[in-house]
Amino acid sequence: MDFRITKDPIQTEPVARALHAVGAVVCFEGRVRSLNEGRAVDALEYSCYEALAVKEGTRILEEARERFGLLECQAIHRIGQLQLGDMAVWVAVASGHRGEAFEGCRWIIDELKRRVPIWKKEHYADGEKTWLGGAQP
Amino acid sequence: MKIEVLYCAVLADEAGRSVERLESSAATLGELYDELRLRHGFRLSRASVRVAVQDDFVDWSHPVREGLSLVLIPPVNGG
Repeated sequence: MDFRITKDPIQTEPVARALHAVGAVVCFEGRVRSLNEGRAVDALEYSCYEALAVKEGTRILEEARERFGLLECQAIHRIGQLQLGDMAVWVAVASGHRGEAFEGCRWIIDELKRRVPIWKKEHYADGEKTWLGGAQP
Repeated sequence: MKIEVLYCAVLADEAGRSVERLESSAATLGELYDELRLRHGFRLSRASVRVAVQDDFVDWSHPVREGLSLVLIPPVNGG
């Protein structure tokens, strides 16, 4: 159970290899894509409030473990300047069977996006930069 | 009372800084936010901003005390 924030490219690692009760591992990679709501994106900049992000991220993983009976879960979120195709977030869960692994992984990424104090600013091909989800006209 | 405010993301851009030390006579964090919103022209209302003290989310009814340090958190969108 581990939630981390990193400024460096995300290095994924083997999940729960030593846990022999594990029958399923599901991983999710979130990447920077070139289009958002029809606009061409050049790059993304993520910022976070780290102390609270780590606390809230860890809380989400703990809740997921309880809720889906997961044997292990991990997540890493990258911050700073990211280019198209870069991995922004990685979630991995391990469980006895595939059902709870798929559901738990999906739940974790949705909660991370909804609750963890991380923000992205999109850099558009036309030069404009905007914080998403903020007070946009 | 002397307090310290940390602004994140869009709020930091609108305030033109990420930290501000100031004097306020607001009784609650909610009143304080409304004061800061007027001063900096924040577009977000209290309803869409969250506030944290000592790295925990608190309610807008939380009292303002001397030496308080708080973080203002606009809607998040990581991932």
